[in-house]
Amino acid sequence: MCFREKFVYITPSKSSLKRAEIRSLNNKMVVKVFGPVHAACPQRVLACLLEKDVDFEIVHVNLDQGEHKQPDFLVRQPFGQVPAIEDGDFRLFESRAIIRYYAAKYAERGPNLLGKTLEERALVDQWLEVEAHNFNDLVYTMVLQLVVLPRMGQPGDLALVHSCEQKLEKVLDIYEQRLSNSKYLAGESFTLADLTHLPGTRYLMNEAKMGHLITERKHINAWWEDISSRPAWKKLMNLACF
Amino acid sequence: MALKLYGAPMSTCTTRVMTCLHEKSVDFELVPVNLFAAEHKQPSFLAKNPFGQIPALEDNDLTLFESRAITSYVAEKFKEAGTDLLRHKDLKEAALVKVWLEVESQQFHPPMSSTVYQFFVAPIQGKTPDQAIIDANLVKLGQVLDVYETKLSSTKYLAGDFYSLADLHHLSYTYYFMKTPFASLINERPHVKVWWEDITSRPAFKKVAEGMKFGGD
Repeated sequence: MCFREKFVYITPSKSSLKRAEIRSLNNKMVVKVFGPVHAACPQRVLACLLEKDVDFEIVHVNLDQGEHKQPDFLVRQPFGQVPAIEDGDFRLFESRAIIRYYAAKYAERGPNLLGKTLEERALVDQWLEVEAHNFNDLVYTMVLQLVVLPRMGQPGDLALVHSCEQKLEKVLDIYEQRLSNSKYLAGESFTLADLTHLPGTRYLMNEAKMGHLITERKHINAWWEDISSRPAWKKLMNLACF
Repeated sequence: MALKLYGAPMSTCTTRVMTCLHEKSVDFELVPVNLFAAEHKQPSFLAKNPFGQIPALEDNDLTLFESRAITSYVAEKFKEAGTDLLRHKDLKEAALVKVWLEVESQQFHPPMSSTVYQFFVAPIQGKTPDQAIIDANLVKLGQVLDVYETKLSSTKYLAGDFYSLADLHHLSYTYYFMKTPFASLINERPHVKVWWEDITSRPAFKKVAEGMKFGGD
């Protein structure tokens, strides 16, 4: 696969323009992604756009300064969360809705992230729901308590972390069984169902230092190695300076 | 062969799917799963949903779980029948439906389901409702409903001026919520209240609501 160089720059919204790299200039409109590049939910969107080779511009939102709760941002995302996107005069929020939109809009381009048949698409949806309802809450809570709160000078609730960890072990046992029967979550191809797990799992393994949950499970470990070595994800890690 | 839906007639997630099936006029068989006998944790059900949760759907040799994936599948498969729940002919409308499907799932569901759980389910399991949890979740729910109030003052339904799957997904949990003392959160927001009365008056939901009783009625 040949990776076309893109015009990608990171715009701090309140200070002067900073261009990270300019390789090819194209005058067409790019998708603006509002949110910090290091945050999990914007990364879910960026990974999808990179897989689909869609030009984008990251507009930084300073969460530490509460920029996401200011009126200017609430107009884009009334719940005060990142990311939001602007594509011409079309706006969306909720990262999982955004990735579904772009995977559908560019279905004919790049890898098929949605599944081809109705049944394949249903299985992709099923595992997207599993991530949202059985996986994400546990991972989010653990990262909040182990990483985010301490960074803000507050103690994390280690009993809560332990309880989440125990529940996550059971959930991951189910993933392990699933991945012993199919190469990816929804079947034999990489889809949104796998992509949606990338940002949270990376945080879990790195900053939260819970990598053993992944590496101790043979099929999950192989799956993680595979999906995290995809060029689009590696490109995103570069952008995020991870 | 008709679709088989494994679940329970008073379950919020099972009824989410049933309402969708009725909106699409799709025949199905509800196969009861006895939660009190922990049937959903037994091997034969775990083979359908390894997470041990209802509902699960069987459509010939396709088995699905996660109610929101099932409704999406039904709405897509039968997109030419019944109510247009996904707005599939217009990519932008379809995307806006997806936004508000996610809003229900990510913003509305957590505080709503915690409250309904504390009020209805905990007592059945022999636990006392935790008022601190209820209070905290009501605050969050109020903030979410403030956003809904603003949105519903400019469009008739959540994704636009058309009823969609995004509105439907709110029905089951909110139906139980309205039986609690906290129903004022809906009733005191005029546009939310109008929207609620509209979506609960739809025949597809009224049919399903008949079976939604806790306490072994």
